[in-house]
Amino acid sequence: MNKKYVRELMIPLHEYAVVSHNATIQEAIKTLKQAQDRPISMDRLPPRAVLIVDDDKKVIGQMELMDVLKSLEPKYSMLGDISALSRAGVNEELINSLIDNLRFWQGDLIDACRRVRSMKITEIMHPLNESLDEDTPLSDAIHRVVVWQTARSLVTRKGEVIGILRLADLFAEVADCIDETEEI
Amino acid sequence: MKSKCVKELMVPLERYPVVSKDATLLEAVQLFERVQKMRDRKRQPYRAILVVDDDKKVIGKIGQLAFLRALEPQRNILGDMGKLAIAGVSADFINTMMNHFQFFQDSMADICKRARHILVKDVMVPIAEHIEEDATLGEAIYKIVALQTLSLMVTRGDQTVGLLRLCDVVQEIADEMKHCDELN
Repeated sequence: MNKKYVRELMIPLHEYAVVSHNATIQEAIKTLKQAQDRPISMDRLPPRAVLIVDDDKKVIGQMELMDVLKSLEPKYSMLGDISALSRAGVNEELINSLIDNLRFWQGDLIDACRRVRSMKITEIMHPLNESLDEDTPLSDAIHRVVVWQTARSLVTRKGEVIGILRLADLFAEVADCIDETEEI
Repeated sequence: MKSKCVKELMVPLERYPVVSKDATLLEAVQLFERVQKMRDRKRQPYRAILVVDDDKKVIGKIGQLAFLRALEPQRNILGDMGKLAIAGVSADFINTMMNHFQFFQDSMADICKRARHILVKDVMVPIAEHIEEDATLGEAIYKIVALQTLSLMVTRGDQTVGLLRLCDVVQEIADEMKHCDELN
């Protein structure tokens, strides 16, 4: 396999699901759904996030699927520490007990959906801080994505964002490579 | 939607791709590729494979990130660096450490050759989180957010019967928001 670079695997920004910072959550979800229904190519998995841009078309954040769930209950932001307990190896029984005791939302899901759909996307988005230069070799990109534990990174050219590199596409590339090496 | 429960949205276990804990990464990749080619385009694609023991009991999963992580020969050190990122250590500092370790010095082809012999059981992520099939969607959303997980095992008593995925839950919420529009 020839040496490949990030620029060969990235999705250009104009081909990705992007909404204005003025969009509502519902508009962002609709944009995501449309992008999923019209994939960039049959070989690529559909997107699972929407990028948010400001008036100058600069990327200021992303909305992932988890952000949609969190928007249903504002107090969900308090739950960040519970997932850290899970990673730290605290036993599941104790975590389940904490989850039961901290149950905030007892209401109707329909009401929650109705409430959040007109919320601004900027209220639930989070920053996408990780970036790679377009000339980064893929082997280096894989390493950084694994350490960052991120599903996508911005791709830059001379500091300007020009695309997105996704974990799903890196995985597909490596999977193809493993198949090729088998044949050699 | 109010009355929907987990079993109505889960992917039944018999439809989910599964490998033995003793399979190699190569076998896992080939399974991944097979199921992606055959997948129902109306449903969200699979992004993980479940791992079963000799008794066919689900003991773990291997997703795209775990897979890429498996390629790294010094993955145990890498894991700790991942925790640094979660703990909020600056990206610059982590980058310096990564450069120091120079993990991916091999070519992609060498990395992929090595991957062919790695066993799934050595790199899978154990699954601990689960939810009962009769739990409401509201309870499932709460648990997914609390545990920051992309999926929950679905159980009927002691038996695993399926997998509830974040993407399917968000799809349900998107449908509900659309339904709210139609009612207005």
